[in-house]
Amino acid sequence: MQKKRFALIRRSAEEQTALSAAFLELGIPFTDICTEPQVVIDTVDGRNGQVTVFLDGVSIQDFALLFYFNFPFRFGDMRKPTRDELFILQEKTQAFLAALATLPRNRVVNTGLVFSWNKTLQNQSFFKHELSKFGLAVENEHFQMETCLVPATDHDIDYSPVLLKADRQIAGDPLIPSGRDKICRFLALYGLDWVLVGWRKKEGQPVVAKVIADGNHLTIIQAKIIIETLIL
Amino acid sequence: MILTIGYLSERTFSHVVSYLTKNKIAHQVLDLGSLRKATSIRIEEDFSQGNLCIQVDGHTYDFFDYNAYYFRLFYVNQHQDEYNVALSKLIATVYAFAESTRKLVVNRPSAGASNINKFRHLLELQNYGFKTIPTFILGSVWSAQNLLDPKGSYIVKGCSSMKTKTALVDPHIFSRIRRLDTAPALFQPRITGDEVRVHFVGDRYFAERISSARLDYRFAEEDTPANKFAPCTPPPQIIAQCIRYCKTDQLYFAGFDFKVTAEDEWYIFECNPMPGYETYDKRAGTAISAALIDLLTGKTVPFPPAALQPEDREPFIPSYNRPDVTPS
Repeated sequence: MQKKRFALIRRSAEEQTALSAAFLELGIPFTDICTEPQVVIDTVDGRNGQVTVFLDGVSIQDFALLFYFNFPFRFGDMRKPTRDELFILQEKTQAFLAALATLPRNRVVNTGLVFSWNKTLQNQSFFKHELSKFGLAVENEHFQMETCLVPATDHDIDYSPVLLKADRQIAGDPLIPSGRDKICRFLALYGLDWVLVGWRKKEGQPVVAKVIADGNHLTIIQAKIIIETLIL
Repeated sequence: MILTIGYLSERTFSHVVSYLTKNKIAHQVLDLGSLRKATSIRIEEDFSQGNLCIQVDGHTYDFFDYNAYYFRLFYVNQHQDEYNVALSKLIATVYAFAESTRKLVVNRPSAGASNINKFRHLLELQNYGFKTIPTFILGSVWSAQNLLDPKGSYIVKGCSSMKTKTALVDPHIFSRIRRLDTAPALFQPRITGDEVRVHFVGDRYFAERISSARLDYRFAEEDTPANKFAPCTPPPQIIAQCIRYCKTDQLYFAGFDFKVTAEDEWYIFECNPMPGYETYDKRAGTAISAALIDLLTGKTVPFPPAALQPEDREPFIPSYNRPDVTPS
């Protein structure tokens, strides 16, 4: 039987380091697709319903599972981008997402991120509205322009990954069992395999302070649990 | 009361607001263009109540106070960090509210959202039975040289939702093919014919046929004759497909673009979920605005349930599988 191949899509080797380290520690070979400095979106062919996609000469159809997290491209620095740079960023991003969107949905981890484009699942407020509808206690948000450039102090938030698979097992604490089910229902609805839920204790009760579908916040232990749960 | 949010400096938003004002429809405007002059911007999100409250210089927009919402939200650089952060936050919170509220929103962010990606959008439209033109995204010079030619048989445009003028792949464009290394582009075989734009407001539609000597009729060219516009009626099958798409995506206001060949084949280009419709509306005597306001004020419902026909009353298990047990 042909060995399954996995891909980690990240912008650079400095990102998603917990996941790449976890792959190595688990001894699972993976193809590292770094979009920076350059990934060639060769051909996305929409003829007769046939779609073939090559990234840097590798057919992405060959992978059993692709780990995807975030917008694949960004500006390299904080200076104001030029008109051309803005256009290039948009075009490369959408070409890349078009390539991923041609794959079967169960082939991309957190495929909901691909299909939600930039409007919903990248949005903290949206997560909170939805989790609140599922009956979870979530922290309200207050924004004030006068203080918006002051960094938030989030040191009292505990992050726990919540995974849809593995009999709805959850790694970490202090998640309450009723919360797990609600978050899993949310994940299923929006095409997510896992998220990191940030909890803060309020009057002794856990409330959702943040929800993150970005692997940068993972520890290696959490990353190993996610990989093992999703691919083994 | 309707809440409208957008940039008054933008033509479509300004057109909607003018129509509301002229027709004395109760509404409030949150002009995103005015934010950069504000001294105070506060946003309160109450997730347990599903409410949003925005205060700009003491003016309060409590989202519970409105019956319907018309949003044209997009980001424009404010050239100052705190205003950029405030605008991003405001747009994100309004998106989240729009997605979550049960009240009428034209349009929710998820409605027709695939339009942001032309390739994916066309694949989705195919699922509704629309005919699409074969489409390629090419980023490799080698692939492009194999597929394309400089004889004008292909057209090129952008992959994303950023507006680009459609261009013919002629010797000049073909000579730039090495620049695909910088950013890929979207290519399609060229098809000739008239353009048709159909605006849908719920299940009401307004169609216009455009005969143009230009490759992209939206852009004026000095040496080509003016476009010709005429109202038209699309085939019933096209109307049905559009309504099915809008209904499935809960897209209450949309602009569909078609290319119609001499053989009356209808190829879809896209469905715009945030249509810039003011020029079509002016030619239609503001009929599109009137329909939009009927929708926002609750005079019409977006997708009225189809009238129940007698044959619809037959249950799933047909009568021949239900022996008549009535005593004789």
